[in-house]
Amino acid sequence: MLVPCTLAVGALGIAIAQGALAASFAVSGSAFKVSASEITAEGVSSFPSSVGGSANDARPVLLAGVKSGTVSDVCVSLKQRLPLVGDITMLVRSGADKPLEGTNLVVNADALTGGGGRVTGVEAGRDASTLTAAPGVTGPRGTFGVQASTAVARDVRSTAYAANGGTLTLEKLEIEFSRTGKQCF
Amino acid sequence: MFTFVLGLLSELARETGDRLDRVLPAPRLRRSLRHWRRTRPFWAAAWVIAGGVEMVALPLAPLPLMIKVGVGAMSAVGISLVLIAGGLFFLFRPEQRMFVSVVTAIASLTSMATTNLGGFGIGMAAGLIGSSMAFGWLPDPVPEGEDAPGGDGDRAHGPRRAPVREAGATGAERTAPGTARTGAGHDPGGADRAAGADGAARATGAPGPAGVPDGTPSSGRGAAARDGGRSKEGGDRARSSFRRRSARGAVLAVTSVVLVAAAVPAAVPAPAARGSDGFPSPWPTFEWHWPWEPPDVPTAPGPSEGSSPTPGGSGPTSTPSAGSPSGRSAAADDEPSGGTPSGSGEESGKGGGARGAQVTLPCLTGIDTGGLPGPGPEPEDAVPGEVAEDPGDLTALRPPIVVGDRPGRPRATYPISPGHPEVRADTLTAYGAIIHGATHLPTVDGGRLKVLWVHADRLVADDYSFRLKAGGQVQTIDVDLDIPQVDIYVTRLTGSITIPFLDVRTPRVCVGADIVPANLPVAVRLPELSVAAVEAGQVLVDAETVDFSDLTVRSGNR
Repeated sequence: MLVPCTLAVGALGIAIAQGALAASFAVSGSAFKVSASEITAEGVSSFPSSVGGSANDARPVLLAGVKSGTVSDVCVSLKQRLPLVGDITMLVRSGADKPLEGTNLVVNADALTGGGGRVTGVEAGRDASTLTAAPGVTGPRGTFGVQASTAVARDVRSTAYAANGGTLTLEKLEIEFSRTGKQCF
Repeated sequence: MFTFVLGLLSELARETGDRLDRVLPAPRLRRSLRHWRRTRPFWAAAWVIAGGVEMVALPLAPLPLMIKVGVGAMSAVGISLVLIAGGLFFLFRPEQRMFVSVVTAIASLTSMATTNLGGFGIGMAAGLIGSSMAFGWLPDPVPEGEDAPGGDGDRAHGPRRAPVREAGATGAERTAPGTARTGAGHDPGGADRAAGADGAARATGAPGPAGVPDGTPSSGRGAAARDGGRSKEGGDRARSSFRRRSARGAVLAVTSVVLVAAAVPAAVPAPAARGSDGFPSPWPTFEWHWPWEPPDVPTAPGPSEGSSPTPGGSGPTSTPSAGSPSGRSAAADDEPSGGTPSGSGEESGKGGGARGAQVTLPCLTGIDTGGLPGPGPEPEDAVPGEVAEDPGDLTALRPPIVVGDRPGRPRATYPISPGHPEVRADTLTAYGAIIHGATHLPTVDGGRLKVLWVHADRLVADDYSFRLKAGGQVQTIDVDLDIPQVDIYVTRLTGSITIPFLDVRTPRVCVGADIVPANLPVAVRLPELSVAAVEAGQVLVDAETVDFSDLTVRSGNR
């Protein structure tokens, strides 16, 4: 049984690596670092939110929903303390040759820096419950919200707590585990 | 090669298991647990459950968010539930393992496409390994109960088990030496281990057909030497095969414990480890009593209990309650008191340091200060979200009365949020500015907010700083902006205006929206308007394009 399963995994892996099959991502829980050389997005809705359980350990974040977008040269690093193993870092790189394409992404970031960029169709101040740019992403009533029809940002670095991608099409995924604590930045 | 690897692994497993068996405490308890374990595909269940837990641990988020995200997060939950349920089936209904293992294998494969490449491959791999183990698992044909404590019991059962075990032992002998030879030929580095495996296999197999003691002179390495020592005390096949099985179980236990501990957050390794290795002590040791005791399930509670803190930790959403009227009014009450001292003292000092001496004049309103200190009672109108109760003002929410063509773009029509951020900028320069005066914007809760409305053909902001307080948290954005064709709506504006051509700055003046009559049919056009040390209550920015640089966004608790 393991043999046919391994073959099936190989076939799936090839399909995903070729971009024929869109992989679906949803990560959250601990902070991870993301850097990218360029992000383009179409249909962005954003409003302040929080991640975490009870009110005292809730972490304030900026929630951003993106209808569709591309990311070039993306690096994601996640540092996790494992019992018996110690600190371990996972570093994922992709999109160096061809940008990743994603749809219906929702990201919770608590820090973000960008070198520069351009946003069009900005409506900063629209109530979060009436945002329309990213389908399905609306906030609580009475919260300050921002939406834009397109956005381009360069040299982006962010510390995020959750990233949920409806679908993500990627090519050439490099995953690296290390114990040296090497991170994206 | 494949058989060689398998043989080597089984030898390694036996050695480690032997050592563990001697080291670990509570042999009687472990023996009882061992019996329960062997009547079902126990380690298959452990792997499958661990895979399911790992898979769902990645995307756990507040439930509304997971639902919003859709496929990625929810399929992780669904697949991991299938895997965990399958694992429980392996534990409690082992007779249905065939079908269930196919289901869990397919679920694991599906997870690769739907959830994070199958939990970054780890959860999928664990699920596939467990499914395969369960698929291949067969109940032990030997009647159970041979593990009675004490050597007598072992020896008594020995002959009964002999035929079955002998076949296995001779099989091992047949394959192991041959593969060991190839291993030695191909791989000089592994020759040492291969020789050890060879000797050990011969030592195990030897007593079967020949009936001579173990410890054949050919090997003389670790495992064989120990087998020889054991043959002195017992020397029967039943015991050695029993030890081999226990050794394999022990290694599986070790790997599974490591995996489970890795999948479960660091806070709960203790229950997981205890669940696999030992038991609370006061248990009887009649082993025929054990297999059917439901509370004996050590690992099933381990991972599942271990995982439950994880959803608990991030499960309940705490969405910011900024929208609730109480929260908003509290924030509004805070604002003037908090802003009072800083508005006059600290801010002017800060502005002075950066921009040269700045004097902040009292606000020019006397009626409404838009949140800044002013004489008389607290202003009502400019408080965020408050509805202006002016019965005479019938122009609200209607298009402004325009005499002639009103320049610039029409007023924004979509609902705004009643809570608005405070913004600052070192300098704010508007080219081609059109000052529309005051107008009203509809808020989402049916009210309206009176704002100053300025359009600019191009607006350049240096060190623009945005600070939004909502529900106990603060979002700050620092950025340099260059915005063509922008409409800005503010509740109030403070700053020192630079007089063109003279390049002289006025003292800082403060204009609240409420002193300006709403919807005047006039608009003032200025070719250039430069304001320094700006503070404003920014309600809305409506722009076609925003060029930004040096962006920094931070979130923090208040």
